[in-house]
Amino acid sequence: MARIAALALLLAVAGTGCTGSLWSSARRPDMPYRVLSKTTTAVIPPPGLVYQDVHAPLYPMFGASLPTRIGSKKGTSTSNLIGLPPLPYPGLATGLDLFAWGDASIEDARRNGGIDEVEYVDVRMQTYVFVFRRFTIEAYGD
Amino acid sequence: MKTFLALAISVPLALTFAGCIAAPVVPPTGLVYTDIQAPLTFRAEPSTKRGTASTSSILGLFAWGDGGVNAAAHNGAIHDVKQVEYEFLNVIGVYQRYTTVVYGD
Repeated sequence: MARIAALALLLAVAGTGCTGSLWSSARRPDMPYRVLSKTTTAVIPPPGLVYQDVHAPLYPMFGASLPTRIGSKKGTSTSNLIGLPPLPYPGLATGLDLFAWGDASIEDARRNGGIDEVEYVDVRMQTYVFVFRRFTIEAYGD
Repeated sequence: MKTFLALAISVPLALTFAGCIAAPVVPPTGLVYTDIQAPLTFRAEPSTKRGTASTSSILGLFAWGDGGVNAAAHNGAIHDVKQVEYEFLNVIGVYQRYTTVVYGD
């Protein structure tokens, strides 16, 4: 047991951590975390595998034009995911994703919020007890 | 035995996610301690107000908070957003905090 724990610890430090030496030559230092998070957004805050309910900017993307004003309306659209719990080993730390469904498009969020012009977009990432995850697009505008 | 198992699971998990942040621009981060600021947008115009919104994470297991642009703008009473940056704090992978910083008027 002690050897397994030591091996897991070594692999975590050397291989999969965001500052791990095995990834030091990667072009993008955040790439391992992007892979582990299984989410593609501009900004992915620090995770919560057991419980997570965080909001982060989806827009503005780097290099895109800025939102110039804060809209008065909000519309959301959601996608869901159910999977198996994670194993305490690098590479399986975020579990095995099995079923995913939902329309998390900005267009759906725009329609749901009755928004004519979307100014910018945040994302909400939720995780409950390892196995259920929800990804929500939050569109703001007028 | 239970304590050992808990440590065997939680320590590798915490180290796996230590110093983890994904953003368009990520400066070098430290495994033990990180406190960095970086841009989310190109433009930087003069502005009078600053608003922040944060999310926090413990051991990579529990995470909470509203770190969106909307929350940051509301916290800073900003109606005209001119610049967006972020801050990232990591303490040994045990505590991590992401903060969206909005500048505007």
